[in-house]
Amino acid sequence: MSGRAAFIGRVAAELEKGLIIYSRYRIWLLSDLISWPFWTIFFFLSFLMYSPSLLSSQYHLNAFTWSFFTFILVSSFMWASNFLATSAQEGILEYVIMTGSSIREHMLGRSVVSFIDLAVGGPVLLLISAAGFGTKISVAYPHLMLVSLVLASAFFYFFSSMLAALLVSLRSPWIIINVAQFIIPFTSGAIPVEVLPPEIRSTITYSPFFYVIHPIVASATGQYFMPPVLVFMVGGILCLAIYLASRVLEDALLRRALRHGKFTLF
Amino acid sequence: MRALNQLAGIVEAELRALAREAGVFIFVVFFPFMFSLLTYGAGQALTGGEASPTQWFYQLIGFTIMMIALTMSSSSAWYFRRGMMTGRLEYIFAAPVSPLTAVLSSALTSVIFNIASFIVVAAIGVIAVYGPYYLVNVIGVILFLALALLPVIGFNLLVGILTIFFREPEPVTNLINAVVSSVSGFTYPIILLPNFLQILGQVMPYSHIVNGARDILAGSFKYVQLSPHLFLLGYLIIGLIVFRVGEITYVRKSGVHW
Amino acid sequence: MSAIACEDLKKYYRVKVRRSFFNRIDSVIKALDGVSLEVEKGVVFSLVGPNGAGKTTMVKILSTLLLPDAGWAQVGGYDVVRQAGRVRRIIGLVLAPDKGFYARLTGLENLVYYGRLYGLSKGEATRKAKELLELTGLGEDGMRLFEEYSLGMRAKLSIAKALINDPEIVFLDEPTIGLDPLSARRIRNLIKDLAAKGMTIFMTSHNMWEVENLSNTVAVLKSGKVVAKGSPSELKERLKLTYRVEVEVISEKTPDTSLPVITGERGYPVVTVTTDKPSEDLVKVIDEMRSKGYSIGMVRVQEPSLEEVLTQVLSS
Repeated sequence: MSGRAAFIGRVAAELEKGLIIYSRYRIWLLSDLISWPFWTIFFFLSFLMYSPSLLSSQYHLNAFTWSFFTFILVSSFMWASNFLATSAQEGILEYVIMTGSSIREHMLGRSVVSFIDLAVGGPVLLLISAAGFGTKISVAYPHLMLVSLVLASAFFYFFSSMLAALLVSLRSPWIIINVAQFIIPFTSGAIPVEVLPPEIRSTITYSPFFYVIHPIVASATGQYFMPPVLVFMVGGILCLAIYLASRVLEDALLRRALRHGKFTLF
Repeated sequence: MRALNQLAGIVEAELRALAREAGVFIFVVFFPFMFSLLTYGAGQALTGGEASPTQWFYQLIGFTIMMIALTMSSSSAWYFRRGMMTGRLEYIFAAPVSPLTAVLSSALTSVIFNIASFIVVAAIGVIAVYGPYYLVNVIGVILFLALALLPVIGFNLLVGILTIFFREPEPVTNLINAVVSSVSGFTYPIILLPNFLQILGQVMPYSHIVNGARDILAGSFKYVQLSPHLFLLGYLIIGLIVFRVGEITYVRKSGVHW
Repeated sequence: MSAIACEDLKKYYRVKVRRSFFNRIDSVIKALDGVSLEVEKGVVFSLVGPNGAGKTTMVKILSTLLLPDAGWAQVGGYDVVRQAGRVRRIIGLVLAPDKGFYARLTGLENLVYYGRLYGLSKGEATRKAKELLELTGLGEDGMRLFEEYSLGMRAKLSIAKALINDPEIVFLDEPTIGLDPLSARRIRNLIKDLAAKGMTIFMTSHNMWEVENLSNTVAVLKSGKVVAKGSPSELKERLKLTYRVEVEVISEKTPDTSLPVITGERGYPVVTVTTDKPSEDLVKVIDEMRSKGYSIGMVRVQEPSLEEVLTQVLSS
């Protein structure tokens, strides 16, 4: 089998494995579908407690709905980072490396679950917002929204690979993931830029995540903080950079694992 | 006496294991600050800088108690899960230990651990918002929580028994956590919720716990507020009965004594 | 050309020893301290030694999962450090028999998954996986989820996984640990069959009876060094371990001899000799008894076990 065919075969095997395992956790999916509306209410009201009057502003309700949409996207990819640590602890990662497969390919199997989470959780969130809070969901620039989602998914896929390589040796990686899943989106453009004070607006543009998170919310509200072309250009470059960084870190992880004879430190 | 010894033994072992994971404690202390500061920042943005420190304190205390309540509600489920995964559960039951002792030990461990984190969080929050003079109120909250959290043990027992039957605690605890978090007014007043969710929130013990704790810290607690807690102790009784019924059913179903 | 060769392999681990909650000191563990070995093609080679002797470290280095600090090693003619990718293609590996699989996949699905990662098409991987499930005795159990497997079933699946890529050399780290006698026998027979087909087996085990019955060559590892190596019989000879010769005499009375006499299982006296020359001494005893007019009953020569070899080597 040629190298390319072998690569495609490995990717197919990882994707199929991810789908099969996901289908075996049906009770999880059911639990998630019932839990999401409640969590949405919790986060929505925790933010809007400071300004309950916004509950009657359609513009803000729509903007905040898309803020939480980005949260679901970031969160589901962030939790994929935990997968590598679990794989190492269960002794699977060593055998996978033995086959000649790479960490990035191995991560694909879990990332497919993130894509499904987004594909199911995203629309559920929009429905809850519409049904529970009376939000009129709208997207100002549908074509830009599509590009934003592709860009953000690619970025966070590579980011989760990179994070996975950094966290694999920790005993409790979930602590970092749990914190980061909130900090990253809500300090990097998930909250609509136009509602922020001017000094914070310019500060958050220094966050690399801004260029992949802000376009989603901005495509929905129509309020781009800077020209969309510029945002997407910087986002694309960052996506490439994070891909390269993930490769470097995976190599470093592998070298360290080969020195210690195990992927975990315990 | 033997049961107390066993309880102390399990609690000590669990606390020792927790002490080796300082990261978890730091996280439990750090997380309420992170969450409340994040929402406070967003609140400042949304109101044009009019969010008040007392609103931040409201969410800080609410979120901390939410973490205690959620951990307590699912501690026995996770205890069973970890025990089943590591095989430790078999050793404990072979000791022999009453399942109730094992579950209560686990709940007690999480109470001690979470109250310790609450003291740190509440002390910092009180000093920041009300000043050091109010620190003495933290002691009052601890005493209050010792009584008010008893009904939560009832929930804990119920979730624990579900774990034994369903084998997987995550879907059950995730669902319960989501409902409890959203309807109990931990980080916002429950009047913002639709009516039926407000009723659900008031029927469960959590909203009474968090409101009582906030009032004690702010020095505005009235003793009459204790009365609902006496009724809420019914949850503990229901939990104990369900646990016992579940235990007997399990023995009949599997033919195996715990 | 040897299947496996290594010279002066060294691997040291730095660890922290926890003396109290605050007091930790650095310590160095010499897992391998200059190991040189050569394993011929198509043989069963066993590495034995006490816990912590360095057996798993050795397996991990040879299977490219661990870099040595010094020395070199080749597997199938390829350098385990510089040509790790080529080594991985020609070897199979079992590390911990109960780990390495997805709990929510069936045995078959786990095998197909690994087969495809090795480059097999889905059809090939499925065919090969089913074949291996039969070979290891899992058969229809291959359709059950891995989380429902017993330890024995998990061990069998581990071996099936190690064979999914038709390897030339298989590394088995304690393959029969925790198995019931029937399952262990099945695995041992499988190892014999694989060796008979020309596969090289490099295994570690604490079961000396198993090692003695399976292995062409045995190396004893102690504190990271090879302290003895050879075939089981060579090791016994080299260590001059004593045999016990027993000659039963059909007589009601104790025979007239200067040698020790005990009462045998059938009630007759048994003349016993402990010796390192069993053949010569057996003939001498029989001749002596016959010359004194005694009839000879059962004759037994008890060989020293490999366990005794290991005990002697490790205690010396």
